[in-house]
Amino acid sequence: MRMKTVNHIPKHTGFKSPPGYLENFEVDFNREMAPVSIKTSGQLAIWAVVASIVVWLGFLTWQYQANELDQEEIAYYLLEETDVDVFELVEIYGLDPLHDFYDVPIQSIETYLTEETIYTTEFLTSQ
Amino acid sequence: MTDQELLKQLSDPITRHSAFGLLVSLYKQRLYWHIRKIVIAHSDADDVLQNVFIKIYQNIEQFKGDSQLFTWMYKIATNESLSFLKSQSRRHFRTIDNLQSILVNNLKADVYFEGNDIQIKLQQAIARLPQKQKLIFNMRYFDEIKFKDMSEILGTSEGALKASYNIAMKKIEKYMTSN
Repeated sequence: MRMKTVNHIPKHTGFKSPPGYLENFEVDFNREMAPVSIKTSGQLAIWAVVASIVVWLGFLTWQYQANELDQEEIAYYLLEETDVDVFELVEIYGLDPLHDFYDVPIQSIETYLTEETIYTTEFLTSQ
Repeated sequence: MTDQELLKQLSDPITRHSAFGLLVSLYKQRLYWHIRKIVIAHSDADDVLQNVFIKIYQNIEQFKGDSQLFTWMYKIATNESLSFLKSQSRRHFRTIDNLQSILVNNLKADVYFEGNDIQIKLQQAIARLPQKQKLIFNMRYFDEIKFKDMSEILGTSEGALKASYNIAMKKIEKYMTSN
């Protein structure tokens, strides 16, 4: 079909919108937009807190592991690689570090040392 | 409610939200159809319309009232639609005109197009126009916007707009009768 002028064509583009789209536009627009604004500011704050907690926990864990490693390494080094023995350490630092490190009662350490070594109860209790 | 009253409510933080809701309900249809004619596909028009209202909301305080509110919003909608087409054409390594022609040629398969063959042909004729003539033709032929208002939206003199519209009309007539 040939057209003489565009005036013969109805002034309708032929486009249509999905049913209810324009009627519900505000509802959908508000639903989509409102959470976005809350999300962006709210989530940023939440993520900042979460990130700082993660970083802080990571730092603490790293520090704790480093301390543990240090203790183990030092103990191993002193006992295996040097002439310094556990009794010399007791002499210098007392019994508390041993108790803390091995998590055994001081009484047990004293008993072991007096029975197995030349150290006397007087010496040990004076530490 | 007049534009002035609406603007007054929009500038007040207490009434801003409800006034903006009113503005959306007043202008959504006109802006949607204006955008749709430029970007062609409904889903793209929906995205652009949402962006347009966000921009209107963000910039409403900068509107000085030296033009009509609707021409100011039309200007935002036009710019946003053209920016959208520009980004799409870059993404697909095409020109905007080329992209619009492809979109028009796919109209038959578009579930949100109910036009007949003549309407498809008219869209194809419009797609062949230079970008500014397209806008002028659509605004005048379908939306019946006055040349005075169009002049504010497009920043072109009324005389130049009238001349462009006549040229566009002749090109379309020629296409419609020769194809």
